[in-house]
Amino acid sequence: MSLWQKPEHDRPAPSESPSSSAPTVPQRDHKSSSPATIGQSVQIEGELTGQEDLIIDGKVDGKIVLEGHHLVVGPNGRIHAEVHAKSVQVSGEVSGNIVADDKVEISPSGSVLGDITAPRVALADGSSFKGSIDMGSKPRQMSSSSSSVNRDVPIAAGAIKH
Amino acid sequence: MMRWLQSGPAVARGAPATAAANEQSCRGMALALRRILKQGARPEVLDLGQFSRSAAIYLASRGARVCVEDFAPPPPTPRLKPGAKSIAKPVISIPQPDGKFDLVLAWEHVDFVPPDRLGDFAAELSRVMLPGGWLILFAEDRPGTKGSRPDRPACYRLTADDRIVRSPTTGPERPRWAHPNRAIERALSPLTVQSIQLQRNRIREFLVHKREKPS
Repeated sequence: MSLWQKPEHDRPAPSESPSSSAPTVPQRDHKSSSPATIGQSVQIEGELTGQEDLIIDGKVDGKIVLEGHHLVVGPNGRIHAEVHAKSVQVSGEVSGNIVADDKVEISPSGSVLGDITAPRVALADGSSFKGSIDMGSKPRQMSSSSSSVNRDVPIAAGAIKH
Repeated sequence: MMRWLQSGPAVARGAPATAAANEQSCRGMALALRRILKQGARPEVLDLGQFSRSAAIYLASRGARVCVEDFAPPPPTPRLKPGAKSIAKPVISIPQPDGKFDLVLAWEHVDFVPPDRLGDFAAELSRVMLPGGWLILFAEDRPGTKGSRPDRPACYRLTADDRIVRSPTTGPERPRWAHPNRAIERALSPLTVQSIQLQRNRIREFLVHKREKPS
């Protein structure tokens, strides 16, 4: 037996069907209560779309579209992007315009540099905001590229850096 | 305790009980809002108040598109040194395009502008105002006093179109002047001061109008 050859008992047993040998990928339950999270060490460049609630504690540079869903920018979140969601809660930093169908909240630790378009807006004491507030018009649609995204994919990003 | 500045009815009705005593009328503001909101179009409002974000949300909930800018009043112009031929004055700049806003809310900034820079400040306010637009200023009334004293700008909250709550803020103090009416009116020229309302807390409310260009 070659030195580089594993003994027979160490080898995995041959599978009965090719499909069972594929690594199992945990499927996210879209109805689950815990939202998807982008961790502190994750940096995304590109367009990020989804069909579930999302918490961002990392960095996103590009565009975020979560139609009908809730976006939370955590205290460590750093967003440099156009944002469109049902509601947006900012505890970190957002640089870019925010369009929400329901509401936008900026927490005391939150900072927004950009225009807010939403029927309801709440700014906490101590929060930082520079831009314009538009609550009178219906939230405008994002550009046409957002309509072409694959809606079956929870998150589609251009590039992910760890 | 964290206090959320909510939009919609919460701002219009939800003044804390302690604020009720400080609430007072602001007829100039009410008149300006009546003029700009009746036009049907969505008016553009510039809010220069660092501590008046709730007012911005209130106005946005009334149908205006409100732009929020932090404005830092300039320091006094330094004296000309012996032998020097010129002095570099700090630029007073509001980073907004010309003639954009139907209403500019300058709150108490005028009190923190040195007397020799009032004209520059007024010119910059006038530049961003739309012809036919309005300007609201608040200024302390301390007749007979000269010079400045250290103070902080106040926080303003609108509870209705004609009701306002002024409350103190914390933070660094800056020199504050009490410019006489005549000095403010002269600096604002060619804008027209439509009314000056003295409120019960010795604060004057200036309602200023920019004439339409003759067609």
